[in-house]
Amino acid sequence: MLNQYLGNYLLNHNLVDRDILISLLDENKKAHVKLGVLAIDSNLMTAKQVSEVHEMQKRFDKKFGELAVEKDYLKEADVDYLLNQQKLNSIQLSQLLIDHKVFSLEQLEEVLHAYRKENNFTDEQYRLMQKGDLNKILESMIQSQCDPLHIGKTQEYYDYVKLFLRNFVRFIDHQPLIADSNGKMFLEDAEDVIVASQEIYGTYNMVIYLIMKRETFIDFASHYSKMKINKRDELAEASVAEFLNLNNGLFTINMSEEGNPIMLKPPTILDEVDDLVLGSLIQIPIITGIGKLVLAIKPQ
Amino acid sequence: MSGKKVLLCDDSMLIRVQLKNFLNNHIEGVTILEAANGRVAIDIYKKEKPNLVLMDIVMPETDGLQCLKEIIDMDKDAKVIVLSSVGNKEILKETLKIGAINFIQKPWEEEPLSKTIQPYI
Repeated sequence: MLNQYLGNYLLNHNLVDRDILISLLDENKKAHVKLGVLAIDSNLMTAKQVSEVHEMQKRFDKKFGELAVEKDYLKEADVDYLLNQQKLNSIQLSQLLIDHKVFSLEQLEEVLHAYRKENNFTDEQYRLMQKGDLNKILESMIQSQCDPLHIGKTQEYYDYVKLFLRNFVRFIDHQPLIADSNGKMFLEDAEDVIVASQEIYGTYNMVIYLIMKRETFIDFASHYSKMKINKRDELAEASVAEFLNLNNGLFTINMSEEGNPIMLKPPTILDEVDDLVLGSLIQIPIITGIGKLVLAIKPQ
Repeated sequence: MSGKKVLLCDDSMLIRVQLKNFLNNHIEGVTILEAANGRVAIDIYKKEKPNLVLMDIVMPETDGLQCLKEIIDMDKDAKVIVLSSVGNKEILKETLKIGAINFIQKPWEEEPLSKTIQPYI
């Protein structure tokens, strides 16, 4: 899961000229992504190993994958995995950087290493919140609540919830736990809840709701803004809304990487969620160090 | 005293407060202008001609892309840096093609932001 698209990273670190980046992003024909670049991008081979296999290809009439497996640089399963990665946007960009000689393989390897270091969520952040079999609990919760019309999208909903939990650990609190409970009952009653909401549209259409009691909302706002917030005011609302906006923005990057572009509408703050809507939501009740909250997804 | 003007365009009060604090701490004598949506930003730009614009994308009424287009149409030399959470390939490409000079992915950090805005203020 990414914090930043590779193109953005290159621009911000002045690694690529702005005009060159525009022309690379603009290339309409899909770059034929070579296995060597895929292998470097996935950290499965070094640039030196890739160059070695390229040299071997000049002498032997064999495919890259075959030779890499023979040299024990890759397993067969790795080759299959790499071929599945071909459509990712950042990989396309990596290949274009090589094709247009912006970077050598060694330079690309160095850049990608630094990019991954700066932009992947750390395992530490995720490990802190793993109690019990979190993945299985989430999968089962989403499957059981998803209506038949949207059952084909459960992987995306699952990816969304995992991203949310990682960002929650990153910005708010280290100890979120998934509760085994109905969302409405979990919050005990619907009185005095505040809801942050944002619509996502494009290849996937859904509305995200973050539902919590007033005290939790204020604490959440304080944690995210790193400011002292004591009441529900414009700053508190802006803080919670901005967390949701940030999380969903990162979701757009990850979806775009998979060739599924989506976009956001501005977030809003509501005082309730209609019972009818609540009934149709995929609800993930979460116990946190600042109180209970419900992350809910309304597929559309 | 810098005598420079920076226009902040973001519908989030939190972001505007954070950016204001950052700019006041880093640039002496800067004048900070604020807009909570693109339409207001365009009106302010016409009147004030700021040295630099920090622009969000996802905003109500007039969004950042439309606002960016109108500002660049009005002033080919406008210096606009996009500051947004939606840093995917499609939005990055479009904002740079329209004429943004840079794109900073939220959450922004002080040191990289400071380095990025330095040449324009």
